[in-house]
Amino acid sequence: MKPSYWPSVIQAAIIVAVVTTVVGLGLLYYVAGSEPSMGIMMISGLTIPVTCLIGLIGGILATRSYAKAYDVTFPIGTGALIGLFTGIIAALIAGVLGQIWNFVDPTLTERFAETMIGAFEMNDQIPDAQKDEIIMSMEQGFEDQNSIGGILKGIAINAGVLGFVNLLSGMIGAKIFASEEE
Amino acid sequence: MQSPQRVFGKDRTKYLIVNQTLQFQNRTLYFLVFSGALFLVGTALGPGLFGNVSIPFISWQFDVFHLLCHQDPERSFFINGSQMAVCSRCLGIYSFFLIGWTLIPLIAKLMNIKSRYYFRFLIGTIILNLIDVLGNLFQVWTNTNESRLFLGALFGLSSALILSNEFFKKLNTED
Repeated sequence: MKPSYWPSVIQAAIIVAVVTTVVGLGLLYYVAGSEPSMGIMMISGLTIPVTCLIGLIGGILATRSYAKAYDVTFPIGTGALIGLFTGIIAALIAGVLGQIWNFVDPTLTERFAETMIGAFEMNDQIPDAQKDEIIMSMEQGFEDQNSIGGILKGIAINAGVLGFVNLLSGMIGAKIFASEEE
Repeated sequence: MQSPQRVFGKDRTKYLIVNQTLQFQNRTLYFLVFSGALFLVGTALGPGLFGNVSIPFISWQFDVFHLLCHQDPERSFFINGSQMAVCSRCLGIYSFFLIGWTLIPLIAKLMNIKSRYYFRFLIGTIILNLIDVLGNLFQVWTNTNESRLFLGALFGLSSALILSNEFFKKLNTED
């Protein structure tokens, strides 16, 4: 009987969740602490391109950890499953971490929303009527994101997307670290 | 299964025609990944695909990718006046992963490439992307949306190709 892959899944999921949460919080603090300006809507100063795709390393980490820890080979189907679970659990942990941070700093998302709306209000390229409509929908969007339904929806979306991309990286991880071929 | 044919060329050399059939395995996983990749590419194109000029951070397309991409407007393409939900590099990755995924049956049929070459290709594209990112970060050069799209496309393509032998295997009736 093959050993359980769950310890590797949990370990990789925690790494992905912590990294993505820290990067996300860094972005929120950067924007929330800035003066509203059109420049703040272009956040290139903060977001190092390396953060791109950091969310999909979970599948690779989990399959590598499982294959190396137990010296086992497994098919890509198992790699896909390991990656899928890693992504879903990472999304759940990231959601919980986000909510814990809401208790630590309850006004953070509010400050972020204010800066973003303030920055948008400065945009004079959009007609006032259309701008008001968009600002209203932004306010509504931020409110929805902070409601219970919005939080659960966010976690569900993240679980689906992180689950899928980590399924892909799990297959690649299985191919590289746990394949019986060559 | 057909048996191999023996034929004679103009120089009377005897050739052996090897019948190669393509075995399609892990079908459910293949179609699941295809559907998921198609959805991701459609979503990555952003709200502009449906003609909506929407604001980043509140449209669902941006929600989908916010943990995966920095979504920087300066590093993204626009469609119908609306920013795409991912940066140009990620757009290259997702779209060319889908293209590669769609083409792997054809590539497996036409070519006989060993997994280790696909692996080298994948590592090469990762290194290329890292060099490009670091070169730009330390201002050795300035990359463009087009160059980022191209390098992302290579990575996306290589990610699909490395898995091709797991889904489509050539079975030789005679070696």
